[in-house]
Amino acid sequence: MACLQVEDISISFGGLKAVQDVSFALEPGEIMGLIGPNGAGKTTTLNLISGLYACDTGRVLLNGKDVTDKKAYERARMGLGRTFQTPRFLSRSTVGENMKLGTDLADQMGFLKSFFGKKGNDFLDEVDQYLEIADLTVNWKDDISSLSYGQLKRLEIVRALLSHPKVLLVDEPAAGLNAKELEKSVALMRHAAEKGVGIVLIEHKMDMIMNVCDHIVVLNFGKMIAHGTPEEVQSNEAVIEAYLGR
Amino acid sequence: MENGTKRSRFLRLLLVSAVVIAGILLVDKFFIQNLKNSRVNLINVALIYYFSVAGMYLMLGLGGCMSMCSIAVMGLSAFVCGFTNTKLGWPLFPAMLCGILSSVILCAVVGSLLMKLDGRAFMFGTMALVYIGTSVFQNFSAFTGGPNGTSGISKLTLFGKTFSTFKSWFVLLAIACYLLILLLHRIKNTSFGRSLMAARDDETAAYSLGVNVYRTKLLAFIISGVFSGIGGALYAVHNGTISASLFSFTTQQSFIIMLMLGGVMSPVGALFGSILVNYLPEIARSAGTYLNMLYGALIVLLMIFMPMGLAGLLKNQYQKLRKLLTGKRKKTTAKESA
Amino acid sequence: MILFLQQTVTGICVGLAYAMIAMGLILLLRAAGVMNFAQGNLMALGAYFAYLFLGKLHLNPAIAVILAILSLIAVGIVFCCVCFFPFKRTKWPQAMLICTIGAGTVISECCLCFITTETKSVDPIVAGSLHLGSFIIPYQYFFIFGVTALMMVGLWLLFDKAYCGRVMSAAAQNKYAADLLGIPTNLTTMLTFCIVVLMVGTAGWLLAPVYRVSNSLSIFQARAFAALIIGGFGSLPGAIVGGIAVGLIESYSTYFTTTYKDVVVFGALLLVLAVRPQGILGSKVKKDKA
Repeated sequence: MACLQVEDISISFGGLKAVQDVSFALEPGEIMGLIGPNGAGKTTTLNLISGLYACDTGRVLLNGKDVTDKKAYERARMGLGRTFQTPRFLSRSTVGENMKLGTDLADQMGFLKSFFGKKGNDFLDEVDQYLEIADLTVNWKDDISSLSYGQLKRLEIVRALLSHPKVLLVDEPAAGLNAKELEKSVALMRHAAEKGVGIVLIEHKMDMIMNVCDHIVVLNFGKMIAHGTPEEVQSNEAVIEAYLGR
Repeated sequence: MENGTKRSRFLRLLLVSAVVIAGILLVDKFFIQNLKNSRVNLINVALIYYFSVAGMYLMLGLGGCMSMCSIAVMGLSAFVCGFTNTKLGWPLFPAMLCGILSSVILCAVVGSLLMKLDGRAFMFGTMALVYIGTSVFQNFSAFTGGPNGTSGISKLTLFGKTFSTFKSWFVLLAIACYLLILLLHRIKNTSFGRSLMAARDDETAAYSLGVNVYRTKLLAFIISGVFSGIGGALYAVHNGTISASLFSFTTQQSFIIMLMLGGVMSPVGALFGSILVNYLPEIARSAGTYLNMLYGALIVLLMIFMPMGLAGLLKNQYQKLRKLLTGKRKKTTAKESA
Repeated sequence: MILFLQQTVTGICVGLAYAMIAMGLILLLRAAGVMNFAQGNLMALGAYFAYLFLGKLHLNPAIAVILAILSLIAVGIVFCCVCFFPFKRTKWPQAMLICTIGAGTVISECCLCFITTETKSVDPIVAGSLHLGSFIIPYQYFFIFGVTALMMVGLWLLFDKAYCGRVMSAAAQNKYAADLLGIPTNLTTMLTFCIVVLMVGTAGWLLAPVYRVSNSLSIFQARAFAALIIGGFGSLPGAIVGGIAVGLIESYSTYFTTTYKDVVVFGALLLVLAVRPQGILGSKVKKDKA
């Protein structure tokens, strides 16, 4: 069964139809690429799926459950993790507090329970495992603002993975990263996919997309113009037109 | 392994508590008992104010919301406590409880109304509450005694001991403040505390991490209301008389100053901030008419040169010192550095 | 009917003063991101200057006005240096707010120590009043109307028509981008501070004959906050409408209560927040579902 199913979602801002009737399905363990020229509505689609914007039409199904009317935080609790184009962290907190927010989401612990019950240390092994894959060394008690952009970018994926998502939406993981750092990000995502997480990936670096993704959806002016395997998309007339112009 | 850390944490807590309580007793014996009654009163009142300041730490330091109505909540609790005790003749404990309950209800109603708005509207809404409170406390004679205030609230008796003088109160209040600090530290390290911090720094990130921002902030507001309520009830019982003129916006301003002076991110710092702000004018009396001007100038200078307050200053110095001693950082795993 | 008219005129007149303070608050908020809690004290300072130059030193009115303008500008520059520049890179904007509280205390204490500790009255600029039957308007009220209207038009001209104003609002909207475009943001911020202090000080000067000179003038600040919210947060026309609304509410409330004036005004604020959080003039922004 598809872990994420999107059916005909649309949204318009004023007169601009930012996303129009986009539908696709994502299987567990699959990495899906969402590509398109700038302004095609990729991030807006992600915002619609994660619930930051409300859909004008259409449905979003998470693990077969309709979440269209659910708020963003409810969707997150149901197993929808995401990262942002520019990393969003608690700028006035430490690395540890930021990471623990991810595990809080995985534990689904109520406030009272968390007040009395002590959290075990088991998540630390998981963190170390992820940090090793991502080739990151961070001090748990450092301020988050002391990290570099490239580190934050990878750390955000680690945080999203700590919340044990079923679906992970990743927004431009390569932006601002060098080749080696990017490799590590890809390794993180591959690791997650092997564990059965469905991943939606927005990216502009075509070689990476073609390499990593099992399946690609192409957007242009808010409309879905093609979808299929990387080979199919590469040879698609409409896609070539959208990217190269005619 | 896990049990071991749990036990060692517990032992550490016990040790720290023992030291702190011993310290409180020593301060009581050698300092408080030799002071003038009026000065002891100032220190005690500072400790009571700390309850409100602690609530503001929760709201501002962790939650990033400027809540301006602690003083109104505190006043309501104090006057309800005084009213039920003196006019209705209730015993002290139900009266105090009633006061605290009334402040919780006020916070729940106001919070659910205002928390949906943005930070500035929230600030002004809570400020409006303070002005309304001041006006009602000063004029609603049947309830608060009007300009004369409420007096004749009965004395507290706890563990067979009657707290009749200001000096006898100090140990009780100091221990209560210590417990409050422990509570705040615990809250900071719970999922609730982290959710609050997420709501403070980045609401969008908070949503994507499954934080119900509205509910989290509302809960924080209600908890800060409980703190202020306890403070108000304690104030009523401690002083025995309440005058309406205390519960004005000026006092609220000094609460914020106490918090920022001690350090907005540090509960312990805030405690010292409240004692300093309340006690300093007493020490610097000799400055005479220029006292208030000095006070204002001091606040300006403090904010310019140490915006994170006393605690922030200490932390900075400590980090510099550590860097100097240990030199460059070595690589650590999360497990080691946690 | 006469009473009603009388109260309307008083309400509008006081409301205009609130509007001036509220507009100053908005300008500072836009330009520097600081919520100024010393605004009331700055207004009282204007009134104290009126007393100092006219009542105490008995200067020629023209010289007094020039002196007052110069000293208000000086206060604005100092205020800006103290309350804005040190906080340009702070993580906690609240520190700035506390700083303005401290500065406000200093200003009011300076007034008390160096000018006068007593409540003083100042002669109105034009004495006497207009009689229409039993309907009386002091000439000072006309003066208040005139000067505030003039200042509002001036502000509108400055920010909407003049190049300088456009540069100032650009700097206020995005400091970083303005810096890159070569706009001297420090200078524009300082200029905004001076304009605001001048505006608020003038309001204080105008109200001095009506309310007498004392530090209790600073309570006007709370009403200005209410005006901000009621009119619609963040817009200058909103501040004017809000200020007049607060003035009228306050003045009509004397029909049924004199002791609970504050309750009526701030109750109205809470009501507006509950029913129409965007204020009278504010437009509803489409909010995300989240």
